[in-house]
Amino acid sequence: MPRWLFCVLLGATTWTLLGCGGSGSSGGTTGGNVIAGPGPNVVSVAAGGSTQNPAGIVNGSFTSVSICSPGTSTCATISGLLVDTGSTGLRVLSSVLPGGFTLPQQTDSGGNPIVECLQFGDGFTWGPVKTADMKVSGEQASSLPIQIVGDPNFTVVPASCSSAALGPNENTVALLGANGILGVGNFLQDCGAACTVSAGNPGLYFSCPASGCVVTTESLSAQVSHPVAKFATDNNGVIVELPAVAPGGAISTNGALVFGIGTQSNNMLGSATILTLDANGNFATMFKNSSFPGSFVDTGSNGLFFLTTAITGLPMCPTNTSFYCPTSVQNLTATNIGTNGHSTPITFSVANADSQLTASNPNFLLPELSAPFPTSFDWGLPFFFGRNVFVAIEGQSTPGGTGPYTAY
Amino acid sequence: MWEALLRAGVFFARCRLRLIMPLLAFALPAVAELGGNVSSIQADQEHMKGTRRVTTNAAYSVHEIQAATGTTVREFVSPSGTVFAVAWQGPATPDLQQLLGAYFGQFTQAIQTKRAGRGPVSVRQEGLVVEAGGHMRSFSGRAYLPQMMPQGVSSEAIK
Repeated sequence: MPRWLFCVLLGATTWTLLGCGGSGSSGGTTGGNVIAGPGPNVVSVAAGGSTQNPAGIVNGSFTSVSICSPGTSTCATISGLLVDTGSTGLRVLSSVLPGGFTLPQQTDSGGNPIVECLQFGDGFTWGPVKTADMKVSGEQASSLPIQIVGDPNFTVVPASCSSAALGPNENTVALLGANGILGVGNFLQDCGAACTVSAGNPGLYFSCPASGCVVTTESLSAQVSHPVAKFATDNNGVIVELPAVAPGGAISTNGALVFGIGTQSNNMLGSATILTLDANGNFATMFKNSSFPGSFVDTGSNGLFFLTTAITGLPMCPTNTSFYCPTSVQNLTATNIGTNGHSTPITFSVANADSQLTASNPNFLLPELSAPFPTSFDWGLPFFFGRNVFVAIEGQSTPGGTGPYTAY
Repeated sequence: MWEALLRAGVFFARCRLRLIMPLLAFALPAVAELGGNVSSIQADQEHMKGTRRVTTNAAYSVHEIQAATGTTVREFVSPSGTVFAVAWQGPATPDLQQLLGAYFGQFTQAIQTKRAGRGPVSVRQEGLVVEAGGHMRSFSGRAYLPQMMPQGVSSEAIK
């Protein structure tokens, strides 16, 4: 039975929903897509309000993994990990690790610790790169480089990290919106080739002697990497499977994160349309007869973010000023087009965010929550409701071709 | 910069800057970008180790800098020579302290109070709009000064 202590509306442009304890129940969800049952390549995903949603964010999906000191049975189970197809790699808040649990620190050739600044669309994570064996269901990624976020041993954020940030240092559960992030996107590493050389280095990895942190190069194998790509099998991608959520929303629902594409009887592509991606991991979305490249699907975005009022005709909210607020629900259509020319039509709805983001609304899943994103479409978690979405990893072979691609 | 400062008044950040900028303006080359003088774009280009291309239409000119990181930055300059907007697209968000100049403080203050969720950032204040986001290895965004947009120029042009 749900037990939500309170929900609070904060300020004119900022809101937060605080959910506390209890187990969520599925409200008003309807079937359609088939969600995988338990299996060695399946981990359950809790979307919406539940004990897996430690910060009580709206439109979040969460799961659990174990991290172990490499080669040992000394492990910690981390719940409340945001499932994020928009990033690569496992990031865990230092504050949620059990007391006394430690992992080996990655160091450079001079023995200095390697610390990372990872930019997200709404803030950044700062913390050391450590090595862990990650176990989930029947799968294991051995000697996986991960990031520990908000480590008290590394509190000084370099200026070049904070000056490129689109939000705060996400070093607490409240600021991160989760206990950690399980990045299962299209890329093998979080940075890739750009961080292996000095010229044009975007500055994610730092060598941190006592005198202070300086940007350093980082080899591909040392970078924070896709855990699934390190599995012995089922290592070419994932499927995010969430049930449909009824118009108006629901408190919570349960789905699955399935490992591998076309490697088992429960992860076949079937009739899914494959949208291959450009070098930046994007496809194009066609809307009102215009094409908007740079579009993507992302479970880690908590709404449908697209274009601006000038194009959509959707007015902005008086209260939650960064969201759309049509006077009545608007039903819209778009088409996603891969670099391979394959396309699929999308129907989606936009509701009045001010009327949904209220203290009295118990729903943590709001499928029609929408806001601007100036030049393209960021298809966040609502896109995933009622769809099984395949995320193929770059360079990995699948029955539908080599990744990266998005398919559904 | 002078224009920006003289038009200011309502925002704390600009009020604070009004006190210190008259001293700096004469002592240093212009480095403030958004709201700054067209000559300040040179500093951006050097900072980004980039190449620059300029295109001009009747209402404004666009200085496009291709940064060494692969990110493209476009700075929009009014006929009077003021940078009234910037936009970027590419694998890394540019140095916003450099790019937003005097408005960086206002921006960072605004983004410290964020939604308890995850998604693109949107700062909408009377004197400053910043909209940005993306995902790993693909970021885009724009910042503009609504009160300094040349007449007839829509925010849709800022991309």
